[in-house]
Amino acid sequence: MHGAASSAAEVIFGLSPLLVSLGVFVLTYAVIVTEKINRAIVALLGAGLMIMSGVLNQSEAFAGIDLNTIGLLTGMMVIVAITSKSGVFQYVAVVAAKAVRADPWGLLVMLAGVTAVFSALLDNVTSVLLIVPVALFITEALRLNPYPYLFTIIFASNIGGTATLIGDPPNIMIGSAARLGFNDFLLNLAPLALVVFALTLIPFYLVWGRKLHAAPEDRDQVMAFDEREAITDVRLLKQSLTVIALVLLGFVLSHQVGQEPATIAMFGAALLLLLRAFGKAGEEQTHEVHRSFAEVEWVTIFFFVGLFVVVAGVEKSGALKILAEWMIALTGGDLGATAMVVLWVSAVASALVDNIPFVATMIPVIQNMASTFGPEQINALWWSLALGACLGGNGSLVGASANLVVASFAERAGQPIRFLPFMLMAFPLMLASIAVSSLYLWLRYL
Amino acid sequence: MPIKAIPFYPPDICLQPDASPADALRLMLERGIDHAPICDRDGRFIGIIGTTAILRVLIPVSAQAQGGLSNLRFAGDAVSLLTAHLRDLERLTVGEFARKDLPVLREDSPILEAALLLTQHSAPLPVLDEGGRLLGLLSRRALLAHLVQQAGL
Repeated sequence: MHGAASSAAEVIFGLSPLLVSLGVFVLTYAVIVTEKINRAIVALLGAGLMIMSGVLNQSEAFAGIDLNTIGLLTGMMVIVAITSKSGVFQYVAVVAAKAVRADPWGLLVMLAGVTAVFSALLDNVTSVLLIVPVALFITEALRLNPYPYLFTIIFASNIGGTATLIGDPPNIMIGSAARLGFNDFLLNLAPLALVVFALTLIPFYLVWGRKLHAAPEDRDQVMAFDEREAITDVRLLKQSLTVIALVLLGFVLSHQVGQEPATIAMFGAALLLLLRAFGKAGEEQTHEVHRSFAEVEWVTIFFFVGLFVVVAGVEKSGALKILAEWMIALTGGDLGATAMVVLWVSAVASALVDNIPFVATMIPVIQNMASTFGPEQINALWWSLALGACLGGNGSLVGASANLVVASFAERAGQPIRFLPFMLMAFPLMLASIAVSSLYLWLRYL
Repeated sequence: MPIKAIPFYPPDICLQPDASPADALRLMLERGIDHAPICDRDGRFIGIIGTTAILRVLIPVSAQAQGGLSNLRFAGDAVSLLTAHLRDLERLTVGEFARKDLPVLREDSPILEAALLLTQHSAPLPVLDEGGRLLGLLSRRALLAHLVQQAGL
Protein backbone atom coordinates (compact mmCIF):
# COMPACT_ATOMS: atom_id res chain seq x y z
CA MET A 1 0.00 0.00 0.00
CA HIS A 2 1.41 3.34 -1.02
CA GLY A 3 0.44 5.31 2.11
CA ALA A 4 1.91 2.82 4.52
CA ALA A 5 5.10 2.43 2.53
CA SER A 6 5.72 6.14 2.13
CA SER A 7 5.08 7.05 5.77
CA ALA A 8 7.07 4.04 6.98
CA ALA A 9 10.03 5.37 5.08
CA GLU A 10 9.75 8.70 6.88
CA VAL A 11 10.12 7.32 10.42
CA ILE A 12 12.91 9.20 12.16
CA PHE A 13 16.51 7.97 12.14
CA GLY A 14 15.46 5.26 9.68
CA LEU A 15 14.31 3.10 12.61
CA SER A 16 11.69 0.43 12.10
CA PRO A 17 8.17 1.84 12.64
CA LEU A 18 7.39 -1.27 14.69
CA LEU A 19 10.12 -0.49 17.23
CA VAL A 20 9.42 3.25 17.33
CA SER A 21 5.68 2.74 17.82
CA LEU A 22 6.28 0.13 20.52
CA GLY A 23 8.75 2.45 22.24
CA VAL A 24 6.26 5.34 22.30
CA PHE A 25 3.47 2.99 23.38
CA VAL A 26 5.44 1.41 26.26
CA LEU A 27 6.77 4.78 27.40
CA THR A 28 3.28 6.35 27.36
CA TYR A 29 1.72 3.47 29.30
CA ALA A 30 4.60 3.31 31.77
CA VAL A 31 4.23 7.00 32.63
CA ILE A 32 0.43 6.64 32.88
CA VAL A 33 0.88 3.78 35.37
CA THR A 34 3.18 5.84 37.63
CA GLU A 35 0.39 8.44 37.97
CA LYS A 36 3.05 11.12 38.48
CA ILE A 37 1.83 13.20 35.54
CA ASN A 38 -1.81 13.81 34.66
CA ARG A 39 -2.90 11.04 32.31
CA ALA A 40 -4.39 13.38 29.70
CA ILE A 41 -1.04 15.18 29.31
CA VAL A 42 0.81 11.86 28.95
CA ALA A 43 -1.63 10.47 26.37
CA LEU A 44 -1.54 13.66 24.28
CA LEU A 45 2.28 13.74 24.38
CA GLY A 46 2.38 10.08 23.34
CA ALA A 47 -0.02 10.86 20.49
CA GLY A 48 2.15 13.78 19.40
CA LEU A 49 5.26 11.58 19.43
CA MET A 50 3.50 8.92 17.32
CA ILE A 51 2.84 11.57 14.68
CA MET A 52 6.09 13.51 14.86
CA SER A 53 8.21 10.36 14.76
CA GLY A 54 6.48 9.57 11.47
CA VAL A 55 4.71 6.37 12.54
CA LEU A 56 1.39 8.06 11.71
CA ASN A 57 0.56 11.14 9.70
CA GLN A 58 -2.03 13.53 11.05
CA SER A 59 -4.94 12.19 9.04
CA GLU A 60 -4.15 8.62 10.09
CA ALA A 61 -4.06 9.81 13.71
CA PHE A 62 -7.45 11.50 13.32
CA ALA A 63 -8.86 8.34 11.74
CA GLY A 64 -7.75 6.42 14.84
CA ILE A 65 -9.82 8.61 17.15
CA ASP A 66 -13.15 6.90 17.77
CA LEU A 67 -15.52 9.87 17.64
CA ASN A 68 -18.47 7.60 18.45
CA THR A 69 -16.93 6.95 21.88
CA ILE A 70 -15.97 10.59 22.37
CA GLY A 71 -19.41 11.85 21.32
CA LEU A 72 -21.32 9.39 23.48
CA LEU A 73 -19.19 10.18 26.55
CA THR A 74 -19.38 13.95 26.08
CA GLY A 75 -23.12 13.95 25.38
CA MET A 76 -23.89 11.86 28.46
CA MET A 77 -21.60 14.02 30.60
CA VAL A 78 -23.49 17.18 29.58
CA ILE A 79 -26.85 15.55 30.32
CA VAL A 80 -25.71 14.27 33.70
CA ALA A 81 -24.07 17.57 34.69
CA ILE A 82 -27.37 19.37 34.14
CA THR A 83 -29.49 16.63 35.77
CA SER A 84 -27.36 16.40 38.91
CA LYS A 85 -28.33 19.99 39.84
CA SER A 86 -31.92 18.90 40.37
CA GLY A 87 -31.22 16.92 43.57
CA VAL A 88 -32.79 13.76 42.12
CA PHE A 89 -29.94 11.58 43.38
CA GLN A 90 -30.38 12.69 47.01
CA TYR A 91 -34.11 12.18 46.58
CA VAL A 92 -33.69 8.58 45.47
CA ALA A 93 -31.15 7.82 48.22
CA VAL A 94 -33.42 9.19 50.95
CA VAL A 95 -36.44 7.30 49.58
CA ALA A 96 -34.32 4.13 49.50
CA ALA A 97 -33.19 4.62 53.11
CA LYS A 98 -36.73 5.20 54.31
CA ALA A 99 -38.10 2.25 52.34
CA VAL A 100 -36.06 -0.06 54.59
CA ARG A 101 -36.96 1.97 57.71
CA ALA A 102 -33.31 3.04 58.01
CA ASP A 103 -32.24 -0.48 58.88
CA PRO A 104 -28.42 -0.59 58.47
CA TRP A 105 -28.24 -3.78 56.36
CA GLY A 106 -31.31 -2.78 54.37
CA LEU A 107 -29.68 0.60 53.74
CA LEU A 108 -26.53 -1.09 52.46
CA VAL A 109 -28.51 -3.23 50.02
CA MET A 110 -30.61 -0.26 48.88
CA LEU A 111 -27.62 2.02 48.34
CA ALA A 112 -25.91 -0.77 46.41
CA GLY A 113 -29.00 -1.19 44.24
CA VAL A 114 -29.40 2.53 43.61
CA THR A 115 -25.70 2.87 42.75
CA ALA A 116 -25.83 -0.13 40.41
CA VAL A 117 -28.87 1.19 38.54
CA PHE A 118 -27.45 4.72 38.21
CA SER A 119 -24.08 3.31 37.12
CA ALA A 120 -25.79 1.21 34.47
CA LEU A 121 -27.68 4.19 33.05
CA LEU A 122 -25.09 6.94 33.62
CA ASP A 123 -21.35 6.84 33.95
CA ASN A 124 -19.91 5.35 37.13
CA VAL A 125 -17.92 8.38 38.17
CA THR A 126 -20.96 10.63 38.16
CA SER A 127 -23.07 8.05 39.93
CA VAL A 128 -20.69 7.64 42.85
CA LEU A 129 -19.95 11.36 42.94
CA LEU A 130 -23.64 11.94 43.67
CA ILE A 131 -24.36 8.91 45.86
CA VAL A 132 -21.34 8.98 48.20
CA PRO A 133 -22.08 12.34 49.92
CA VAL A 134 -25.67 11.40 50.70
CA ALA A 135 -24.62 7.88 51.78
CA LEU A 136 -22.06 9.39 54.18
CA PHE A 137 -24.68 11.80 55.49
CA ILE A 138 -27.16 9.02 56.25
CA THR A 139 -24.53 6.78 57.89
CA GLU A 140 -23.42 9.75 59.98
CA ALA A 141 -27.00 10.34 61.10
CA LEU A 142 -27.24 6.62 61.99
CA ARG A 143 -23.80 6.73 63.67
CA LEU A 144 -22.58 3.84 61.50
CA ASN A 145 -19.08 3.12 60.28
CA PRO A 146 -19.28 4.33 56.65
CA TYR A 147 -16.57 1.95 55.36
CA PRO A 148 -18.86 -1.00 54.45
CA TYR A 149 -21.12 1.44 52.60
CA LEU A 150 -18.28 3.05 50.64
CA PHE A 151 -16.88 -0.39 49.77
CA THR A 152 -20.30 -1.55 48.62
CA ILE A 153 -20.83 1.56 46.50
CA ILE A 154 -17.53 0.93 44.68
CA PHE A 155 -18.50 -2.67 43.91
CA ALA A 156 -22.05 -1.79 42.92
CA SER A 157 -20.89 0.94 40.54
CA ASN A 158 -18.51 -1.38 38.68
CA ILE A 159 -21.01 -4.24 38.56
CA GLY A 160 -23.84 -1.93 37.45
CA GLY A 161 -21.59 -0.32 34.87
CA THR A 162 -20.89 -3.74 33.35
CA ALA A 163 -24.56 -4.23 32.49
CA THR A 164 -25.04 -1.70 29.68
CA LEU A 165 -23.38 -0.10 26.68
CA ILE A 166 -23.24 3.29 28.42
CA GLY A 167 -22.45 2.01 31.92
CA ASP A 168 -18.67 1.98 31.69
CA PRO A 169 -16.23 3.52 29.16
CA PRO A 170 -14.78 0.11 28.11
CA ASN A 171 -18.26 -0.94 27.02
CA ILE A 172 -18.70 2.27 25.04
CA MET A 173 -15.40 1.60 23.23
CA ILE A 174 -16.18 -2.08 22.64
CA GLY A 175 -19.72 -1.34 21.45
CA SER A 176 -18.46 1.25 19.02
CA ALA A 177 -15.62 -0.85 17.62
CA ALA A 178 -17.55 -4.13 17.42
CA ARG A 179 -20.82 -2.49 16.33
CA LEU A 180 -22.66 -3.95 19.31
CA GLY A 181 -25.67 -1.92 20.39
CA PHE A 182 -27.39 -1.00 23.65
CA ASN A 183 -29.67 -4.04 23.48
CA ASP A 184 -26.77 -6.42 22.76
CA PHE A 185 -25.13 -5.36 26.01
CA LEU A 186 -28.41 -5.46 27.89
CA LEU A 187 -29.24 -8.99 26.71
CA ASN A 188 -25.74 -10.42 27.04
CA LEU A 189 -24.21 -8.69 30.06
CA ALA A 190 -27.07 -7.42 32.26
CA PRO A 191 -28.26 -10.92 33.33
CA LEU A 192 -24.77 -11.80 34.51
CA ALA A 193 -24.33 -8.41 36.22
CA LEU A 194 -27.53 -9.09 38.16
CA VAL A 195 -26.25 -12.50 39.30
CA VAL A 196 -22.84 -11.11 40.29
CA PHE A 197 -24.54 -8.28 42.18
CA ALA A 198 -26.70 -10.68 44.18
CA LEU A 199 -23.82 -13.07 44.90
CA THR A 200 -21.56 -10.19 46.04
CA LEU A 201 -24.06 -9.23 48.73
CA ILE A 202 -23.54 -12.62 50.47
CA PRO A 203 -19.96 -11.97 51.64
CA PHE A 204 -20.94 -8.38 52.47
CA TYR A 205 -23.64 -9.71 54.77
CA LEU A 206 -21.31 -12.23 56.44
CA VAL A 207 -18.51 -9.70 56.96
CA TRP A 208 -20.50 -6.58 57.84
CA GLY A 209 -24.25 -6.88 57.41
CA ARG A 210 -25.09 -9.04 60.40
CA LYS A 211 -23.05 -6.85 62.76
CA LEU A 212 -24.44 -3.45 61.70
CA HIS A 213 -26.66 -1.83 64.29
CA ALA A 214 -28.26 1.61 64.60
CA ALA A 215 -29.98 3.11 67.66
CA PRO A 216 -33.78 3.49 67.33
CA GLU A 217 -33.64 7.27 67.93
CA ASP A 218 -31.08 7.69 65.14
CA ARG A 219 -33.24 5.62 62.81
CA ASP A 220 -36.22 7.84 63.73
CA GLN A 221 -34.16 10.85 62.78
CA VAL A 222 -33.52 9.42 59.30
CA MET A 223 -37.18 8.43 58.97
CA ALA A 224 -38.01 12.11 59.58
CA PHE A 225 -36.00 13.14 56.49
CA ASP A 226 -38.22 14.67 53.82
CA GLU A 227 -37.06 13.50 50.40
CA ARG A 228 -39.24 16.08 48.61
CA GLU A 229 -37.05 18.81 50.09
CA ALA A 230 -34.05 17.30 48.29
CA ILE A 231 -35.47 18.37 44.92
CA THR A 232 -34.05 21.82 44.30
CA ASP A 233 -35.68 22.56 40.95
CA VAL A 234 -38.84 20.70 39.91
CA ARG A 235 -38.86 22.11 36.37
CA LEU A 236 -35.24 21.10 35.81
CA LEU A 237 -36.05 17.65 37.21
CA LYS A 238 -38.91 17.12 34.77
CA GLN A 239 -36.89 18.37 31.81
CA SER A 240 -33.85 16.23 32.55
CA LEU A 241 -35.79 13.06 33.34
CA THR A 242 -37.73 13.48 30.09
CA VAL A 243 -34.54 13.87 28.08
CA ILE A 244 -32.85 10.93 29.83
CA ALA A 245 -35.91 8.76 29.13
CA LEU A 246 -35.84 9.80 25.46
CA VAL A 247 -32.10 9.12 25.18
CA LEU A 248 -32.48 5.67 26.75
CA LEU A 249 -35.39 4.94 24.43
CA GLY A 250 -33.19 6.09 21.55
CA PHE A 251 -30.45 3.66 22.64
CA VAL A 252 -32.92 0.77 22.88
CA LEU A 253 -34.33 1.57 19.42
CA SER A 254 -31.01 2.66 17.90
CA HIS A 255 -31.00 -0.31 15.56
CA GLN A 256 -34.54 0.41 14.32
CA VAL A 257 -33.99 4.16 13.90
CA GLY A 258 -30.57 3.52 12.38
CA GLN A 259 -28.68 5.98 14.58
CA GLU A 260 -25.38 5.57 16.40
CA PRO A 261 -25.21 6.11 20.20
CA ALA A 262 -23.08 9.26 19.89
CA THR A 263 -25.71 10.95 17.74
CA ILE A 264 -28.44 10.04 20.21
CA ALA A 265 -26.46 11.24 23.25
CA MET A 266 -25.37 14.49 21.60
CA PHE A 267 -28.87 15.19 20.33
CA GLY A 268 -30.21 14.57 23.84
CA ALA A 269 -27.62 16.96 25.29
CA ALA A 270 -28.57 19.65 22.77
CA LEU A 271 -32.28 19.11 23.50
CA LEU A 272 -31.75 19.49 27.24
CA LEU A 273 -29.65 22.63 26.69
CA LEU A 274 -32.45 24.01 24.52
CA LEU A 275 -35.07 23.30 27.21
CA ARG A 276 -32.86 25.08 29.76
CA ALA A 277 -32.43 28.05 27.43
CA PHE A 278 -36.15 28.77 27.01
CA GLY A 279 -37.22 32.10 28.44
CA LYS A 280 -33.67 33.24 29.19
CA ALA A 281 -31.92 36.28 27.77
CA GLY A 282 -28.98 35.78 25.41
CA GLU A 283 -26.27 36.43 27.96
CA GLU A 284 -27.87 34.20 30.57
CA GLN A 285 -28.19 31.42 27.99
CA THR A 286 -24.51 31.67 27.13
CA HIS A 287 -23.63 31.54 30.81
CA GLU A 288 -25.74 28.44 31.37
CA VAL A 289 -24.40 26.62 28.30
CA HIS A 290 -20.85 27.57 29.26
CA ARG A 291 -21.35 26.15 32.75
CA SER A 292 -22.80 22.89 31.44
CA PHE A 293 -19.93 22.40 29.00
CA ALA A 294 -17.40 23.25 31.70
CA GLU A 295 -18.59 20.27 33.75
CA VAL A 296 -17.68 17.78 31.04
CA GLU A 297 -14.68 15.81 32.27
CA TRP A 298 -12.28 17.11 29.66
CA VAL A 299 -9.35 15.27 31.26
CA THR A 300 -11.06 11.97 30.45
CA ILE A 301 -12.03 13.09 26.94
CA PHE A 302 -8.52 14.24 26.02
CA PHE A 303 -7.09 11.10 27.62
CA PHE A 304 -9.24 9.09 25.20
CA VAL A 305 -8.20 11.19 22.22
CA GLY A 306 -4.50 10.74 23.02
CA LEU A 307 -4.83 7.01 23.69
CA PHE A 308 -6.71 6.36 20.48
CA VAL A 309 -3.85 7.93 18.52
CA VAL A 310 -1.17 6.01 20.46
CA VAL A 311 -3.04 2.74 19.87
CA ALA A 312 -3.52 3.65 16.18
CA GLY A 313 0.28 3.90 15.99
CA VAL A 314 0.96 0.38 17.29
CA GLU A 315 -1.95 -0.91 15.22
CA LYS A 316 -0.59 0.56 11.99
CA SER A 317 2.96 -0.64 12.63
CA GLY A 318 1.62 -4.19 12.94
CA ALA A 319 2.54 -4.70 16.61
CA LEU A 320 -1.03 -5.52 17.63
CA LYS A 321 -1.40 -7.98 14.75
CA ILE A 322 1.69 -9.78 16.04
CA LEU A 323 0.19 -9.81 19.56
CA ALA A 324 -3.09 -11.25 18.22
CA GLU A 325 -1.28 -13.96 16.25
CA TRP A 326 0.80 -14.74 19.30
CA MET A 327 -2.31 -15.10 21.48
CA ILE A 328 -3.96 -17.38 18.92
CA ALA A 329 -0.83 -19.50 18.70
CA LEU A 330 -0.77 -19.73 22.49
CA THR A 331 -4.36 -20.96 22.69
CA GLY A 332 -4.07 -23.11 19.57
CA GLY A 333 -6.83 -21.07 17.92
CA ASP A 334 -9.38 -22.49 20.35
CA LEU A 335 -12.20 -20.01 20.98
CA GLY A 336 -12.87 -21.14 24.56
CA ALA A 337 -9.23 -20.91 25.59
CA THR A 338 -8.84 -17.52 23.89
CA ALA A 339 -11.96 -16.19 25.62
CA MET A 340 -10.67 -17.33 29.02
CA VAL A 341 -7.27 -15.75 28.41
CA VAL A 342 -8.92 -12.47 27.36
CA LEU A 343 -11.26 -12.54 30.38
CA TRP A 344 -8.71 -13.33 33.09
CA VAL A 345 -5.89 -11.20 31.69
CA SER A 346 -8.31 -8.26 31.27
CA ALA A 347 -9.56 -8.69 34.83
CA VAL A 348 -6.13 -8.76 36.47
CA ALA A 349 -4.79 -5.97 34.23
CA SER A 350 -7.85 -3.78 34.84
CA ALA A 351 -7.52 -4.25 38.59
CA LEU A 352 -3.97 -2.95 38.55
CA VAL A 353 -4.01 -0.32 35.81
CA ASP A 354 -6.60 1.90 34.21
CA ASN A 355 -8.91 -0.30 32.14
CA ILE A 356 -9.38 2.34 29.42
CA PRO A 357 -5.88 2.10 27.88
CA PHE A 358 -5.99 -1.67 28.26
CA VAL A 359 -9.28 -1.96 26.37
CA ALA A 360 -8.15 0.57 23.76
CA THR A 361 -5.21 -1.75 23.03
CA MET A 362 -7.16 -5.00 23.16
CA ILE A 363 -9.85 -3.87 20.70
CA PRO A 364 -7.58 -3.95 17.62
CA VAL A 365 -5.99 -7.15 18.94
CA ILE A 366 -9.39 -8.87 18.94
CA GLN A 367 -10.30 -7.30 15.58
CA ASN A 368 -7.14 -8.90 14.21
CA MET A 369 -8.44 -12.30 15.33
CA ALA A 370 -11.50 -11.95 13.08
CA SER A 371 -9.82 -14.01 10.37
CA THR A 372 -9.43 -16.94 12.77
CA PHE A 373 -12.87 -16.79 14.38
CA GLY A 374 -16.20 -16.14 12.69
CA PRO A 375 -18.29 -13.01 13.38
CA GLU A 376 -20.58 -14.89 15.79
CA GLN A 377 -17.67 -16.44 17.64
CA ILE A 378 -15.80 -13.18 17.95
CA ASN A 379 -18.66 -11.75 20.02
CA ALA A 380 -17.73 -14.19 22.80
CA LEU A 381 -14.34 -12.47 22.89
CA TRP A 382 -15.94 -9.02 23.06
CA TRP A 383 -18.04 -10.10 26.05
CA SER A 384 -14.95 -11.60 27.68
CA LEU A 385 -13.11 -8.31 27.25
CA ALA A 386 -16.04 -6.26 28.56
CA LEU A 387 -16.55 -8.48 31.62
CA GLY A 388 -12.85 -8.65 32.44
CA ALA A 389 -12.31 -4.91 32.04
CA CYS A 390 -15.43 -3.76 33.91
CA LEU A 391 -15.52 -6.29 36.77
CA GLY A 392 -11.72 -6.24 37.05
CA GLY A 393 -12.04 -2.61 38.10
CA ASN A 394 -13.20 -3.89 41.50
CA GLY A 395 -9.85 -5.55 42.20
CA SER A 396 -8.09 -2.55 43.70
CA LEU A 397 -8.58 1.08 44.61
CA VAL A 398 -6.91 2.18 41.36
CA GLY A 399 -8.86 -0.29 39.22
CA ALA A 400 -11.48 2.24 38.10
CA SER A 401 -11.89 6.01 38.16
CA ALA A 402 -15.05 5.64 40.25
CA ASN A 403 -13.06 3.84 42.98
CA LEU A 404 -10.66 6.77 43.18
CA VAL A 405 -13.52 9.27 43.26
CA VAL A 406 -15.06 7.44 46.23
CA ALA A 407 -11.67 7.21 47.96
CA SER A 408 -10.86 10.86 47.45
CA PHE A 409 -14.23 12.06 48.77
CA ALA A 410 -13.92 9.66 51.72
CA GLU A 411 -10.47 11.08 52.41
CA ARG A 412 -11.77 14.68 52.35
CA ALA A 413 -14.57 13.63 54.69
CA GLY A 414 -12.07 12.14 57.14
CA GLN A 415 -12.89 8.49 56.35
CA PRO A 416 -9.89 7.39 54.27
CA ILE A 417 -9.97 4.05 52.42
CA ARG A 418 -6.53 2.42 52.53
CA PHE A 419 -5.08 0.76 49.44
CA LEU A 420 -4.00 -2.59 50.92
CA PRO A 421 -6.91 -3.35 53.27
CA PHE A 422 -9.27 -2.55 50.39
CA MET A 423 -7.41 -4.83 48.01
CA LEU A 424 -7.21 -7.71 50.52
CA MET A 425 -10.98 -8.01 50.42
CA ALA A 426 -11.69 -6.61 46.96
CA PHE A 427 -9.22 -8.65 44.89
CA PRO A 428 -10.52 -12.10 45.97
CA LEU A 429 -14.11 -10.89 45.52
CA MET A 430 -13.23 -9.63 42.03
CA LEU A 431 -11.66 -13.00 41.15
CA ALA A 432 -14.82 -14.73 42.37
CA SER A 433 -16.93 -12.53 40.07
CA ILE A 434 -14.61 -13.45 37.17
CA ALA A 435 -15.01 -17.14 38.01
CA VAL A 436 -18.78 -16.68 37.81
CA SER A 437 -18.29 -14.86 34.50
CA SER A 438 -16.19 -17.75 33.17
CA LEU A 439 -18.98 -20.15 33.96
CA TYR A 440 -21.52 -17.84 32.28
CA LEU A 441 -19.41 -17.43 29.13
CA TRP A 442 -18.81 -21.15 28.99
CA LEU A 443 -22.48 -22.05 29.30
CA ARG A 444 -23.75 -19.40 26.92
CA TYR A 445 -21.14 -18.88 24.20
CA LEU A 446 -18.48 -21.58 24.18
CA MET B 1 -2.56 58.15 52.51
CA PRO B 2 -1.27 55.03 54.30
CA ILE B 3 -3.49 52.92 56.56
CA LYS B 4 -1.47 54.10 59.59
CA ALA B 5 -4.03 56.90 59.80
CA ILE B 6 -6.79 54.42 60.62
CA PRO B 7 -7.10 53.04 64.14
CA PHE B 8 -7.02 49.26 63.65
CA TYR B 9 -7.77 47.06 66.59
CA PRO B 10 -4.61 46.20 68.44
CA PRO B 11 -3.47 42.67 69.21
CA ASP B 12 -4.42 42.60 72.87
CA ILE B 13 -5.93 39.24 72.02
CA CYS B 14 -3.66 36.89 70.16
CA LEU B 15 -4.32 33.17 70.46
CA GLN B 16 -1.53 30.64 70.72
CA PRO B 17 -1.70 27.98 67.99
CA ASP B 18 -2.22 25.20 70.56
CA ALA B 19 -5.27 26.89 72.10
CA SER B 20 -8.54 25.03 71.52
CA PRO B 21 -11.20 26.32 69.11
CA ALA B 22 -13.62 26.10 72.01
CA ASP B 23 -11.57 28.77 73.85
CA ALA B 24 -11.40 30.86 70.69
CA LEU B 25 -15.17 30.61 70.29
CA ARG B 26 -15.80 31.65 73.91
CA LEU B 27 -13.52 34.67 73.42
CA MET B 28 -15.21 35.71 70.18
CA LEU B 29 -18.70 35.33 71.67
CA GLU B 30 -17.71 37.41 74.74
CA ARG B 31 -16.33 40.22 72.63
CA GLY B 32 -18.88 40.06 69.86
CA ILE B 33 -16.25 39.59 67.15
CA ASP B 34 -16.08 37.09 64.28
CA HIS B 35 -12.31 36.78 63.88
CA ALA B 36 -9.33 36.44 66.20
CA PRO B 37 -5.63 36.47 65.28
CA ILE B 38 -3.23 33.61 66.07
CA CYS B 39 0.41 34.41 66.94
CA ASP B 40 3.43 32.46 68.13
CA ARG B 41 5.07 33.17 71.52
CA ASP B 42 7.11 36.04 70.07
CA GLY B 43 3.99 37.78 68.75
CA ARG B 44 4.69 36.83 65.13
CA PHE B 45 1.50 36.47 63.14
CA ILE B 46 0.44 32.94 62.06
CA GLY B 47 -3.12 33.29 60.81
CA ILE B 48 -6.71 34.17 61.63
CA ILE B 49 -9.48 31.98 63.03
CA GLY B 50 -13.09 32.89 62.29
CA THR B 51 -16.55 31.78 63.35
CA THR B 52 -17.19 30.38 59.86
CA ALA B 53 -14.36 27.87 60.27
CA ILE B 54 -15.75 26.82 63.65
CA LEU B 55 -19.28 26.42 62.31
CA ARG B 56 -17.89 24.31 59.48
CA VAL B 57 -16.64 21.71 62.01
CA LEU B 58 -20.16 21.25 63.30
CA ILE B 59 -21.71 20.56 59.89
CA PRO B 60 -21.67 16.87 58.86
CA VAL B 61 -18.52 16.03 56.88
CA SER B 62 -20.60 14.80 53.96
CA ALA B 63 -21.79 18.36 53.40
CA GLN B 64 -18.69 20.41 54.24
CA ALA B 65 -16.20 18.42 52.15
CA GLN B 66 -15.59 19.70 48.64
CA GLY B 67 -18.12 18.12 46.28
CA GLY B 68 -20.39 17.30 49.21
CA LEU B 69 -24.12 17.88 49.67
CA SER B 70 -25.08 21.41 48.78
CA ASN B 71 -28.56 21.24 50.24
CA LEU B 72 -29.57 19.79 53.63
CA ARG B 73 -33.21 20.88 53.67
CA PHE B 74 -34.32 17.27 53.33
CA ALA B 75 -32.75 16.39 56.70
CA GLY B 76 -35.31 18.57 58.44
CA ASP B 77 -34.71 19.72 62.00
CA ALA B 78 -31.81 17.40 62.81
CA VAL B 79 -30.01 19.84 65.13
CA SER B 80 -28.40 16.91 66.92
CA LEU B 81 -26.23 16.43 63.82
CA LEU B 82 -24.74 19.87 64.56
CA THR B 83 -24.36 19.57 68.33
CA ALA B 84 -22.82 16.09 68.01
CA HIS B 85 -19.57 17.75 66.95
CA LEU B 86 -19.40 20.51 69.58
CA ARG B 87 -17.12 18.30 71.67
CA ASP B 88 -14.71 17.97 68.75
CA LEU B 89 -13.84 21.64 69.32
CA GLU B 90 -12.07 20.68 72.56
CA ARG B 91 -9.85 18.11 70.84
CA LEU B 92 -8.64 20.36 68.02
CA THR B 93 -6.26 23.33 68.06
CA VAL B 94 -6.77 26.77 66.57
CA GLY B 95 -3.54 26.22 64.61
CA GLU B 96 -5.45 23.69 62.45
CA PHE B 97 -8.05 26.37 61.67
CA ALA B 98 -5.71 29.27 60.95
CA ARG B 99 -6.46 31.00 57.68
CA LYS B 100 -3.03 31.63 56.22
CA ASP B 101 -4.13 32.69 52.74
CA LEU B 102 -4.96 36.31 53.66
CA PRO B 103 -2.91 39.14 52.18
CA VAL B 104 -0.81 41.00 54.71
CA LEU B 105 -0.76 44.79 55.12
CA ARG B 106 2.04 47.08 56.34
CA GLU B 107 1.50 50.33 58.19
CA ASP B 108 2.50 52.21 55.05
CA SER B 109 0.12 50.25 52.74
CA PRO B 110 -2.10 52.71 50.84
CA ILE B 111 -5.73 52.93 51.94
CA LEU B 112 -7.00 52.41 48.38
CA GLU B 113 -5.15 49.10 48.08
CA ALA B 114 -6.36 48.01 51.55
CA ALA B 115 -9.95 48.84 50.54
CA LEU B 116 -9.67 46.69 47.42
CA LEU B 117 -8.19 43.73 49.35
CA LEU B 118 -10.93 43.98 51.98
CA THR B 119 -13.60 43.56 49.30
CA GLN B 120 -11.84 40.43 48.06
CA HIS B 121 -11.56 38.61 51.41
CA SER B 122 -14.17 37.78 54.00
CA ALA B 123 -12.00 38.56 57.02
CA PRO B 124 -10.24 41.59 58.51
CA LEU B 125 -6.66 41.83 57.26
CA PRO B 126 -3.56 41.58 59.46
CA VAL B 127 -1.24 44.59 59.69
CA LEU B 128 2.33 43.46 60.43
CA ASP B 129 5.61 45.22 61.23
CA GLU B 130 8.93 44.46 59.49
CA GLY B 131 9.58 41.52 61.84
CA GLY B 132 6.23 39.87 61.05
CA ARG B 133 4.77 40.85 64.43
CA LEU B 134 1.08 41.66 64.50
CA LEU B 135 0.24 45.36 64.91
CA GLY B 136 -3.49 44.88 64.54
CA LEU B 137 -6.37 43.80 62.33
CA LEU B 138 -7.89 46.20 59.82
CA SER B 139 -11.63 45.63 59.39
CA ARG B 140 -14.03 46.87 56.71
CA ARG B 141 -15.88 48.72 59.46
CA ALA B 142 -12.76 50.58 60.64
CA LEU B 143 -11.84 51.61 57.10
CA LEU B 144 -15.36 52.78 56.27
CA ALA B 145 -15.57 54.68 59.59
CA HIS B 146 -12.33 56.47 58.68
CA LEU B 147 -13.60 57.38 55.20
CA VAL B 148 -16.90 58.72 56.55
CA GLN B 149 -15.08 60.75 59.17
CA GLN B 150 -12.59 62.17 56.64
CA ALA B 151 -15.38 63.17 54.29
CA GLY B 152 -17.23 64.83 57.16
CA LEU B 153 -20.46 63.02 56.34
